[in-house]
Amino acid sequence: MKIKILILLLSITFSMLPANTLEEQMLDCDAGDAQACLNAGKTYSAKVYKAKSNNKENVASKVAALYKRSCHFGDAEGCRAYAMQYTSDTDKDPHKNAAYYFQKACDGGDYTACTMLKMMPTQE
Amino acid sequence: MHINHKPSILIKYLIAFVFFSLSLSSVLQAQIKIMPLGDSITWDWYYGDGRPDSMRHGYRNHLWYKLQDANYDVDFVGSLNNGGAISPSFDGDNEGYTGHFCHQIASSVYGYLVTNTPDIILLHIGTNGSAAFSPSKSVADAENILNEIDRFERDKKVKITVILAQIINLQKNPSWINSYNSQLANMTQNRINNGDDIILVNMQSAVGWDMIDGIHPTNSGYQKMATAWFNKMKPVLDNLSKADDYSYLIPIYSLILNP
Repeated sequence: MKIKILILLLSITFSMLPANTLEEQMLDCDAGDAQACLNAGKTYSAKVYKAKSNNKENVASKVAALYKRSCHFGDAEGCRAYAMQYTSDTDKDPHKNAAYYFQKACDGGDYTACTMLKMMPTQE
Repeated sequence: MHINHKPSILIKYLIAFVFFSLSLSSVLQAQIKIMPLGDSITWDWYYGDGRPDSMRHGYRNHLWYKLQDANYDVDFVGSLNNGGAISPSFDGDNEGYTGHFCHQIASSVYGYLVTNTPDIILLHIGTNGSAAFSPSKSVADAENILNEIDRFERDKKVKITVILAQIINLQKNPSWINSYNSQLANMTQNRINNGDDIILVNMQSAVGWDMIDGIHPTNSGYQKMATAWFNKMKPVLDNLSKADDYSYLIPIYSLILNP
């Protein structure tokens, strides 16, 4: 009985550990985990890009897509990260403008996003 | 009775080994650690910037190339890293926090220094304060960063030279920057007069209006920043390099091994 409880506790502990590899993060992101999408975007940006540096735009848009999913799943930092990655030529979202996502991040409690929103250059 | 005054081979090699170890340890310590510290201008980001982190560099890669060309043995330090896909490669370690205010850096800098203790800090901070605070409040917060660095130096008995930037222009609010930079210079001079090890560098005039979004520099602006940092840092680097130069030991080895 004690062993069963121990195994159960260990399983719960391991299931609560954050996913470490990009593959794990992507799987958790697909399952709707906002933090995992954000982490996958960061991992993809920092590591995968280096190996595929001949395809810059494609990778940049994949990173942006991961941040955007993180934002849509409710992570305020994900919204800020997406606003920071936002480029007019890589996204077809009708709401696409950095201010919208900075505002969303700010509303979600991301203090840095509020600052960045205020610092934003005025649109021409 | 014959007394042999010449040291035995074993003793000679033992003495040589001791000198060699001493100089080797000094060589290992000779690498000068530099911490780029600040906000997005250190990290490298601008509004509308879709680059992945591995393509970000700011002034840091340009400064790295200058330092390598001048044969300085340096190590950029910090808990953040970017620019891994930049060619030629450079040391991407830094403490550049996009969107941060002076007071946020002040509350964290002691921890950064515990993790990575540099010989030199390159500090460019203050721009984001224009969104929320007066120039005087931001300068007071910038002074708190310096206070925290001093506290670390006292606690750990280390010496850190801070190269502090009068920050680059801001299209939206140039008068805020002018006021901040002027008050920053006064504050710095007072600290220098009281013996603090700070060097002021004027990035506002170095970069001018070479900016990509009115807040952040273009690549050419970053090159100008690198030149300004390098020129102010060079005497410090020369001093630190001299302090670690044990080349005078070479003739001593020769004397011991070939008397």
